[in-house]
Amino acid sequence: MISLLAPVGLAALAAWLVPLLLHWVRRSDRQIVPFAAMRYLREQTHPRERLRLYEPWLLILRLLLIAALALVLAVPILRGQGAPSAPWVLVAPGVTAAAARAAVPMPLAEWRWLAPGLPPLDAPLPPGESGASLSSLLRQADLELPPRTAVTIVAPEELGGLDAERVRLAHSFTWRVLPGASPSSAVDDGADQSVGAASGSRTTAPLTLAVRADTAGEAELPLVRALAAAWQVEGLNLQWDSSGPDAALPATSAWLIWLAGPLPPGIDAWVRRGGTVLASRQTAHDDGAVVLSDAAGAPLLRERQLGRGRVLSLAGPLRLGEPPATAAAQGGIGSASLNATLGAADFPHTLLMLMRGPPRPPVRASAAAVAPLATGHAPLGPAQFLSPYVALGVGLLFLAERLLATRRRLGA
Amino acid sequence: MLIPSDVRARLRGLRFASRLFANGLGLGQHRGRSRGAGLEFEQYRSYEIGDEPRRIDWKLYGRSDRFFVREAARDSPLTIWVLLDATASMAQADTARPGYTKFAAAKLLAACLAEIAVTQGDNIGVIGITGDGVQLVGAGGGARHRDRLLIELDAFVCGGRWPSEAMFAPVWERVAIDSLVVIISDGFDAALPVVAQKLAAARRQVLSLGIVACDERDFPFAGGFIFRDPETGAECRVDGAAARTDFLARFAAARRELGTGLARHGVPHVEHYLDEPADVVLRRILAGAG
Repeated sequence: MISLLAPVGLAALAAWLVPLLLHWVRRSDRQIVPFAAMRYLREQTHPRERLRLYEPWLLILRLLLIAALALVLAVPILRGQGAPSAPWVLVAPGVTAAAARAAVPMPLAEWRWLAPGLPPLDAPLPPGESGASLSSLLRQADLELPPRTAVTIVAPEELGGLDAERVRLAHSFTWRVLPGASPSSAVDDGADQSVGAASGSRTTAPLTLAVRADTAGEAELPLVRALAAAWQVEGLNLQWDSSGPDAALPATSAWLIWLAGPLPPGIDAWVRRGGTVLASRQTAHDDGAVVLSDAAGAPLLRERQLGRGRVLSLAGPLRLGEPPATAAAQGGIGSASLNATLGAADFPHTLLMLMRGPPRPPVRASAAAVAPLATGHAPLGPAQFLSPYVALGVGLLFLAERLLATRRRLGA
Repeated sequence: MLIPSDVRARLRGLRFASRLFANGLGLGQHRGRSRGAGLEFEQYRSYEIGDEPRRIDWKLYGRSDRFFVREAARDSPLTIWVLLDATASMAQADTARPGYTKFAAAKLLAACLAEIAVTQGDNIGVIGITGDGVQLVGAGGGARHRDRLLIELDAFVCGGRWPSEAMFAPVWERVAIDSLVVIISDGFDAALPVVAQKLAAARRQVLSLGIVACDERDFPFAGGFIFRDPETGAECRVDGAAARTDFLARFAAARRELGTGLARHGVPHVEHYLDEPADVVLRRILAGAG
């Protein structure tokens, strides 16, 4: 079944007008022949006005060429309706291969992991974080599998990697749920932690709050401690790790409060891997979105994305009671407004929300509850792009057109 | 002006003949009007004072008792004038052979005539009549004259419309009585038959050569064309296929009328097509003239 991905490309057929007009020119009428015996011609024999096309074969070739070009623009694809193949069994990670084989009695089926590239089940699951969502893999498999193939999907009870849209499959499928849980990725972890921290319903591993302060930053430590205390009151399970600016960051640390001036490159790299840092006394304070302003509307806290992590930068020091002159010299922010903001009762909560970042959607659910739905129409099958063949035809037509056009010119 | 070698070879059998008396100076091959001492007896005439006594036929005096003088005929060379129509319409060529105009064909015919004339010792001159005036090579004989004539003929150009009567003074001044005039034209100028008739009436023998293009004979045009009259500049749009039959009929009728009109005044008219060799038409017209 041939279909077009971009039927609007057929609008290029309007270019048919160009060769039609070119071939419609009544050329020989413009030919002036000196003819002394003209007096013996009757005046009544004017040429009849009728549609006349010169060199019809060349015209047809040119029209075909334009049609083929328009077809290339319209991106034709061929969807095969192959013979029914052996059934497929897709096993989601979280279920062991042995358990899946035991549960599904189809030894002749194609056994594949539901992972990028659909690797065979005999091979071990490729290690490392895939990053691809399970829903997306299911949809891709539905599109790429041969049509009229029965698919059995084996999913663990606790299914991860879902997205907000319910999966709909065109293939006829069986949804088997086995005990187990999808392996969690770092992305899932972050989401879980946010959800868990906000809801309090779930106990999570303690979050290491690393604080790095130089000598000037020592003065800011009291306020940081107060913030941490306030956050623990809100339900955050924090582990305190305070040290000098040169100390290495703990491996499990996700949050960092930097009280030692501009961020060094090492910290940058750490942030790019997914960390969140709150840095005070930042002189390069003009990039990033303003997330917190003082009462007068001056920007206090800016947030910028750095790799997979975020940097929250504060223009002034993270302390109360700074003399106004120093504050103005350092960041241009009025000390009074800074004090008013930092000292406000809801500042710890505001900052916590900012440190957490936007809440992530839930990605795990009970497999029974998120069983895919049927689309109701037949699967399309894998698509084969026909553009290369049509482009080859364009080339051949162009050659033929050139040959025909120049042959006529040489003969004249 | 080069005559193709095959044409030149076929010219050898051709010769001019005139039904009038040749009146050129010197000795020629044509029956002339001049009488005198010679071998070929022509006539007796009565003695007049001043005749040499030795020319008196004394035997006849013995029989008749009167003085008679023997006269012999002297063959004279013929003077031939080629009158070339050099109006703009002669610049027309065939679509199949664009470089070969009617005027080129006419010049080639004139060169052939010069070749024949010089071979048989006659005098020949060429007059080309353009819209602006007359191009002329005076009559003469001999190989040197022929070469000069060919060079000057090559420089002849055609253009303009048929001139007024006043421009014909050189023709009447030069073309003497009893000379042979060959008119080469395309027959589209209505004044030309009049000139031919006047010349014929004034004791010149006139031959008319009409040059017809193959386009006019066959009318190979199909489709729309714009025809332009080279002399008037008038244009008309014509559908070739539709106009063909009517044109051919009318054109043939016009040529027939021209031929009969000239023949009525004793001017034979033959036609030369651009795709035939030059000697064909010469063979026909010189045979008819003899």
